[in-house]
Amino acid sequence: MSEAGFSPDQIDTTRPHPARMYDYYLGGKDNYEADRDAAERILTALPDVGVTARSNRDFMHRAVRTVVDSGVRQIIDIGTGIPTSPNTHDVARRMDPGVRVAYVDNDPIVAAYAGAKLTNSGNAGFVLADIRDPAAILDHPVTQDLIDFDEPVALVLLAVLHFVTDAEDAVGIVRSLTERLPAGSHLILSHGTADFNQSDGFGKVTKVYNEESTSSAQWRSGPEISAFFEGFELLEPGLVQLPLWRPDGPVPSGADLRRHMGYGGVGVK
Amino acid sequence: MADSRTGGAAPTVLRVVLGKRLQHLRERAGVTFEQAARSLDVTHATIRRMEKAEVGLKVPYVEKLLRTYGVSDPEEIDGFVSLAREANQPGWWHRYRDVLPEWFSVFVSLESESEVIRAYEPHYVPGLLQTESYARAVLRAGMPHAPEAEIKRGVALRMERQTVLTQEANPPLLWAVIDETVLRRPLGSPDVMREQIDHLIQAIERPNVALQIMPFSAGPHPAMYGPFHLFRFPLDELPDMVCAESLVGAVYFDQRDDVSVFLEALDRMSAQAVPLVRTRAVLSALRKEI
Ligand SMILES: C[S@@+](CC[C@H](N)C(=O)[O-])C[C@H]1O[C@@H](n2cnc3c(N)ncnc32)[C@H](O)[C@@H]1O
Repeated sequence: MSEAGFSPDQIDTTRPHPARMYDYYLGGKDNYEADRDAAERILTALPDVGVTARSNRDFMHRAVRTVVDSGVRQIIDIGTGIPTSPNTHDVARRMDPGVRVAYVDNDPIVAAYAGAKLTNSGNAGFVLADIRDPAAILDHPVTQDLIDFDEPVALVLLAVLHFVTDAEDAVGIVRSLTERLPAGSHLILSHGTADFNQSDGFGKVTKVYNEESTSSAQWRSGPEISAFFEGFELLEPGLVQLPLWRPDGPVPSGADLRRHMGYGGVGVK
Repeated sequence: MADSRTGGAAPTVLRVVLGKRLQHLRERAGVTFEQAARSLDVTHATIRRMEKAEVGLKVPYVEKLLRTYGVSDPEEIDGFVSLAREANQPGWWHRYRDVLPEWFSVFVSLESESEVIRAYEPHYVPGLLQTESYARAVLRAGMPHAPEAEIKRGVALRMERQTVLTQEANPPLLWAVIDETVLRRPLGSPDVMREQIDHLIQAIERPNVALQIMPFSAGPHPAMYGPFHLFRFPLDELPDMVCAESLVGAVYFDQRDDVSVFLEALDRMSAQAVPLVRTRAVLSALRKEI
């Protein structure tokens, strides 16, 4: 029998993985001891990572609704992560059941979860690829099958670009991903930052990611993150702290607001 | 494990939750097993067994314990008590007590209240996906001495269990990895096997059935020692539970460090097995070889 999946040496579960650490921050159960151990040390250094992860998910819900509401019917979601209900397609399909979603991640275990929980209800597919290889994503048969590049696309890059360093040309990567999208396409982006909370915990967090996990992390400032929106016009209210992007409920303020260590924004081409 | 002599049959998941809550309240109040036991005039083992859901929760006990643990809000007490009453209701599977060993009735109760059921089956098609004739052949092979009537009851129970997958309200996701052996070792007759594979091809059309095949060509994988199930429940505060099966019983695990080992094995196997999108093609190809 052929058509096997990954070989054991392609599946690294010995090191903490950002997808499962993030699942742990969100209170999920799809993580192992190594992930929890690393995540706990991060939460000790920066206790509000959990709050930020939640506000990142909430931002996803509002941003995806906004974009589908404006007529977009196809989504490319890169750095999908371990499924967390509601997922991108759940949120989009509550507005229009016909929305098509191409999920992308570079982790074999995320790929397995995607098969069971994300792409099991049709009109969605999974692409195993690295964001640092934009052509592999855009030219992949699954993407080509699901996405019509003559119609507006929503490109979703949530909490993934802080795993791509400047040395790897993060801005150039985003440019390559967006330059083939037609006018009317949207970019939904969120990113971790130290702008709102100058805790020295960030040093420790970066160290854990860089030295132990499967990915290196780089937190960026507001202006650095704005650079990803080259060629896009930011929708109101611009690139802002996650809870402040078109809130649909009460907004935290003061010290409470400082706990949310991420930016979110949506641009239109 | 539950003790059938107490008439406590399998705990429902709800009983497990309440047991955990009692434990939590006791610990929060700084009350020891011995102190709690004294307030009920029972042995400390009884308290332990209540917390582990090994015995039913008697309403007067629950009321007294809550007060001992400093819970005084009548609404909270009423709420807890009514949940305890509900947890003591027997599940549908109690009708099959004649053919249901205690360990397996725990299994069925977990299965029927799960949100996600993950499984590794090296030898058989998972029970929830078996056809009637295949189930009969499996049961017969496992119980060579059993009278025909018992096999029949066993098959009926298995068929009734399967309704969980097609129920209207929140059917669980069944995500199973089966070994290539399952599809190659003849069971019953070639007709039985063909019918079973056709049934699988149909079943995987359901969005809540994810079946992956671990081909021989994938080489060794992390769970080759035997079958197990992992249950996840819709309540966040409930831990995942693993049931590792053997010929004469099963062991249940709910400690996170234990469960994680199984979870990691399942995850690795799912990545190593044939990707879900190709299950159908593999099943069709194998069917032709029978
Ligand atoms: C923090 S999670 C974010 C999950 C989800 N996008 C969200 O915001 O809720 C980051 C995800 O990015 C993925 N990732 C990290 N580096 C990547 C890369 N170079 N290419 C593709 N995916 C990557 C990880 O596997 C993980 O699933």
